[in-house]
Amino acid sequence: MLKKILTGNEAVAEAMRQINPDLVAAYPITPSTKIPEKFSEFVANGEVDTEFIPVESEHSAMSACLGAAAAGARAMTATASQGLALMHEVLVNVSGLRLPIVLANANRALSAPLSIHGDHSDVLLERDSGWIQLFANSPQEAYDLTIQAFPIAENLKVRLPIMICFDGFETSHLATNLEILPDAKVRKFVGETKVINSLFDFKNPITQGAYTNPDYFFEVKRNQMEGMENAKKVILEIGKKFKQLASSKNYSKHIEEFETKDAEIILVIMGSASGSVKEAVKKLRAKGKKVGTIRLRTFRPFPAEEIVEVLSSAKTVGILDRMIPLGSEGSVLFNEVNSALFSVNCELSTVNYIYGIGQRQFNPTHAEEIFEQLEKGKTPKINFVNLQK
Amino acid sequence: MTAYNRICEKVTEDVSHPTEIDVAILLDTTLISNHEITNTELSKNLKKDSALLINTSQKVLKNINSEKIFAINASEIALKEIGKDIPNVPILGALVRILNLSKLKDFSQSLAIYLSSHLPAEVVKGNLRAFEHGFNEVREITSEKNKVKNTSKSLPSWRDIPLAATIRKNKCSDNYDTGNWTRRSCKWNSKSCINCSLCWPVCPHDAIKTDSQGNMTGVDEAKCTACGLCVTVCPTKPKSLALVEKQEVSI
Repeated sequence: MLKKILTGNEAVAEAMRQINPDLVAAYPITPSTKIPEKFSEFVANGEVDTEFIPVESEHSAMSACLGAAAAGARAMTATASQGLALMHEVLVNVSGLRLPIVLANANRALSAPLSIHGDHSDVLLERDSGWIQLFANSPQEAYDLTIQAFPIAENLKVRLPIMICFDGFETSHLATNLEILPDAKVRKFVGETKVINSLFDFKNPITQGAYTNPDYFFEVKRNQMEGMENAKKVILEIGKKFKQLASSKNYSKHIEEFETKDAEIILVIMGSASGSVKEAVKKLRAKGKKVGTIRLRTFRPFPAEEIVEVLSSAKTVGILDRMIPLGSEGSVLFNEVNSALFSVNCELSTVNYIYGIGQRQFNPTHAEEIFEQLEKGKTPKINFVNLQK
Repeated sequence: MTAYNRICEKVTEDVSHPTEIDVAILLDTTLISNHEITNTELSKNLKKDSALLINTSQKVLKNINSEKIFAINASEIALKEIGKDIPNVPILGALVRILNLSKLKDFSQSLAIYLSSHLPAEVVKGNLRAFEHGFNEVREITSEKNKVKNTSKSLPSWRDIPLAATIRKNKCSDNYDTGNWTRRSCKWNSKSCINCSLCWPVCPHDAIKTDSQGNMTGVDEAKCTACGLCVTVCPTKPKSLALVEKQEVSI
C-alpha cells in the first residue's frame, strides 16, 4: 500500500489511470476540471492506452461514452452541476440501454444565480435517471469507490451505469494522505471487460435502442428496475471483495453508523459534512447525551431496509439535506427516509434540516445546535441551518 | 478566496472551516482592502493569541487588529528565485518557522520529494531556495491598532434579497475596479504609439481609453488587469505598451 498526498479529483484520476479504461470523453467544469486535466496528462505521457476525446460539451461527452460502451468498450467521464444537467437526456438513454458507464461527479449547486460551489442539487436531480449513485465522503472513499465502480456496473445481474458523487471543493479539492493500491492489484480487481451485446460483434449483428411499442416498453423498464434492485446486493459483494485488497476499509454496508446503538436522537446525512456531525456526536456523547448519526454511502438504490433497522429504535430523527426543496414537503433525503419509515409504520418524529446550500458553512457547532433543538422538541418540519434570518 | 489547512495528530473527518485558527496567512494584499482584513470570516475565526502572516514589504501596518503580526516579502523572493510571483513556497517557509513545525533541513527535504513529483528539477531548486529565504527572513512587525474601524456590513436577510439576485444599480460595474487585484500595471507610450487601434478590440476589460476621434489617450488603471494582450498585439518597435511593476497597495 502506497501513501500519497492527493486531492479528491487527483485521487479519482489516479483510480482512472489504474483502471485504464478504453475511452474517456470529458468537458472540463469546476470543481471537477482537474480530473480530465490530470487524466489527459496520463494519456499524453503514455501511461494509459485510453482514447481521450476532449469533446465540445457534456452532452457530447456522455454521447461518446454511450457509443463506446454500446460497442463494448469501458467508458468513463467526469463532470459537475450544469455539465451533469446538460448530460441529462443522454443519462437516461445510457441507463435504459443498460450500459455500464462510470461517471465521477463533483457535487455542485445548479444555477441560477450562478454558483461554482458545492451542494447536492445536481446529483439529486438525477436521482430517477436510472444510475446507481454512491456518495463518497472523502478523497479516499472517492478513490475506493471509483475502483469498485466497474465490477458493480458490469455485473450481469446489474448492467447499469454508476455515478460516484463527492462534494465539490470539500472533497474534490481536499488534499489528504491517501492509501493507493498497487496498479497490478487494481487491474486484477477490476478485471477484463465483460463484453455483451457489442455493436462491433459483426458475426452476431444486433440493434440497440430501437423503438418499442406500448406492449413491450413497460416490461423493459420493469426489467431495468430489477437491475437496480439487484445492485443492492452486488454493491455489498464487491465492497466485501474490496476489503481483501484494503483490509482497513469497510464497505460491507450501504450506510455508515456512528454511535447509533442506544441513540435517542439520530442525524441522517450524505457526503463530506458527515465528519462535522461526527465531531458533534463525540462532544455530546462526552456529556452523556444519547445521540448518533448515520451516513448514506449508497443513495441509489435506496437502502431503505438498513436505514429503517437503525432508525426504528430512536425517538427523534433529523434528516440533513443539501438541496433546497422547491415545492415539495421537505427535501429529497427527508422524503426518501420518511417514506421508508412510514411503509413499516414507524412512529418516529422526523425533522428536515437544509444545510450547506451553495457551500454555506456547516461546522460541528451547527450540528450540535441541531441536536439541542431536537432534544427540546417543538421544531418546525423544515429548518434552515446558518441562513441569514 | 480563502483556503484552510488542518495539521492533526489523528485523522479527522471534519472538513468544515476551522473556527479557532492559529495562523492566518494573507497571501495577496492587493486582493483585499484594509477594512476587510479585520472583518473577513478568516479574521473573525482567529483566536486572541493567533498570528497573522502577511506577504508584504511594509514595516508598519495600519488598521490591523492583531497582537502578533509577521511579515515576509514573499512575492519579491518568488520573483527572484522562480521568476514568477507565486509566493506560496516562501510563505510556507515563514509558516514552518513561526509554528516551529520542523527544522529547516528536514522540511526542505520532504518538500523536495513532494515538489519533484510535480515540477521540473530547475523549478524545484528555485522553490527550495525560496523556502529557505522565507524560513530565514520572516520578521515580526508592529501595527497601529488604534486606527481600526469596524466598517463591516451584515449580510441581508433572505427576505430582503433582490429577486433572483438582480443587480439594479446603473453602471454598477464601475464599483468593482478590476484593475486593483494585480501587482502589475500597463504603461502607454504616446510618442511611439501609431494609433493603429489593434489593442482596443483585444482588451477584455475595455481599459484602452480613446477620445471622440478614436485616438488612444491612455490605459484605464481601474480596469486594466495587466493581462498583457495589448502588449502582445502592439506592432510598434519598441512596443508602445509595456507591463510594469505597480506600487504595492497600501494596507
